[in-house]
Amino acid sequence: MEAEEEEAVDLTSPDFDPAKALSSQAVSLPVPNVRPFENLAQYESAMKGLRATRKVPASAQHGGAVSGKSGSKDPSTEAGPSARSLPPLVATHRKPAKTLLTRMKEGKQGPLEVLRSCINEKRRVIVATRTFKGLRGICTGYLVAFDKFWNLAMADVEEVYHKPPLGKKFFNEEPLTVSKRELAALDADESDEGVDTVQSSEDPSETLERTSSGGTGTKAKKTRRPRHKKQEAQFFKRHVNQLFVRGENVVIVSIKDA
Amino acid sequence: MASLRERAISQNTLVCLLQAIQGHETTVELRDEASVFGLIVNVDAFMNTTMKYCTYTDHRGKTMQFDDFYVQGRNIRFVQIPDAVNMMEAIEHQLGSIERRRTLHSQERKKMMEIREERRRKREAKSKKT
Amino acid sequence: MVVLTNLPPPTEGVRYTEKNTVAVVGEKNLGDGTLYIAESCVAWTNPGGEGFNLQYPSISLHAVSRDQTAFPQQCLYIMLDSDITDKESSPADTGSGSEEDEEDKSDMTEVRFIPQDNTALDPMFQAMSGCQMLHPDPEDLDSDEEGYEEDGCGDAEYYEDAEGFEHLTDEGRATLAHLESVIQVPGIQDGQAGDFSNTMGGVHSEQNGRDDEDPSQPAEPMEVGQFDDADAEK
Repeated sequence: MEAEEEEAVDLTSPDFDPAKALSSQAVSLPVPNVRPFENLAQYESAMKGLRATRKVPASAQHGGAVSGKSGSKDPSTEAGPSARSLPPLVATHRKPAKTLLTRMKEGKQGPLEVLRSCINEKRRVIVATRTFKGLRGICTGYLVAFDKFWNLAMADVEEVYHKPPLGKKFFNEEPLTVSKRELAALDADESDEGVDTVQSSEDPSETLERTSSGGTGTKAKKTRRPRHKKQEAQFFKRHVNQLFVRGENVVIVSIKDA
Repeated sequence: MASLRERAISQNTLVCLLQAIQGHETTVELRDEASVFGLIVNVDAFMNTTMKYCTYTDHRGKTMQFDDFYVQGRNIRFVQIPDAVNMMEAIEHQLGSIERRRTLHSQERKKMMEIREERRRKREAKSKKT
Repeated sequence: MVVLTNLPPPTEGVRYTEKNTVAVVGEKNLGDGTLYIAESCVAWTNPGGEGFNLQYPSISLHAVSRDQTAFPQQCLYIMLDSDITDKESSPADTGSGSEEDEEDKSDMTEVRFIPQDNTALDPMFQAMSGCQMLHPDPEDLDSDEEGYEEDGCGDAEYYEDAEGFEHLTDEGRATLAHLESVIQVPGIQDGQAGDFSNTMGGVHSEQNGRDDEDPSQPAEPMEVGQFDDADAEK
């Protein structure tokens, strides 16, 4: 009886009874010099890692000096009935945790796969970003990394944008939308020198005006049209070497270098 | 200390890139057209960002100095990544350090499991005899 | 201007209280009062018991301003994402004066809390940051956290730090104390082991330091032994 009791509070015993151990004063730890888990979640996480791989090392089966490799029999069959009657006790492998990087490489089909191909094939992308309503600007550059929220890391970014007015005026303003013309204008940007004027589809009186001399750093060049009440939009252009874009602000990503 | 959940988010999203530039000076651009230049002190899993020694420029260009600054993640539009940072290397390095923190107790656990396995085999042998 | 209501200060989850703190909302000085930084909201009340509440999700940013050219006193600066001052026109904006600037007023409110004691600014900022983290963007939450599930972390609740032990029953505390006494945590002296609160404090700081800083700890110690026999099955 006493031996049974001892078994129940012996953490290394197959008859270990956690409930008894909690109240017993006689618990002795097999490995006293441990760092405890900080919380249950941590423990569960660790145990799940163990269960994920139901293997028992071959060497343990043979007991002692004989290495598992030298045994001719398949270790998994050798484990025999005991392996079924008891949960696997020895972790042999914890699968590497998924990370941003493994996810970026994963072969999931869909829009994110297109992003991956843009990275692999070093194609430039055009990223339209938004304000609270409507379009704010267009970033053209190389994609370096992305995640499922459409957060983007971009390099060598040219951004054309306008600063929308805030407050009451903002709500009266016509929203900008991405038009093919605007995208076409950006494409044309490569070859053009000087000023290039494009009309947006929403408002014919609104002009997109840009200078195409390559800015360095992040200093914006500002051009201002003669003022037309209400319909004026100021566009800026700047260059940013490396830019993180929060996914929430991304409207659309399209491939520039087809 | 970040919770496991927050750690998992950092590990699986580009938040880790922003965490990798902790300690760098850069510009964070906000949704309301304001921007903040300063030292990135901390970025949590929700992209809430704590900065120090900041110059805040509002949408009209008016500036203010702040010793300490905290902005909610959802108010962030862009973060300029400093030129000195190689973004892919920074991500890899950051993921590595998250993983090191995630891996806990492995050695103790292994030793314990070995002892347990040993006991189990002894018991089995015993029960086979009887 | 801001509507002051007769409201009782928060009583639960108050992280920081600062008396003798002047509140300025927009351009309006509301006088001296007490600031409460609670987990649910930021509240300020004047000696007459009138005051206002700020909800964390409406707080775009908060900061410590010591730049006395921008504002004459050092203060905790808060920007709200809406205009709560409800004014017809802004008397402060006379300098540039153009019509555009009038219309260009953004939809926000600046709130400043000026404590008589400047040294309170740091703890005020920290308390605000701590509480702000308790109110993540709801849009962030409804996204599926695949990695999180796969890691086996689930939605489990757990005690993050020593504060959590206040919830334990007497029995629970006794059990915990016992368990603590059984485990010899490296770096904790035996004499301390009986007092679980001390021990827990010690355990946590010890561990945190170790987790973050100990470079000698291999990233995946388990893997080393595992690969010894990994090829047995291949």
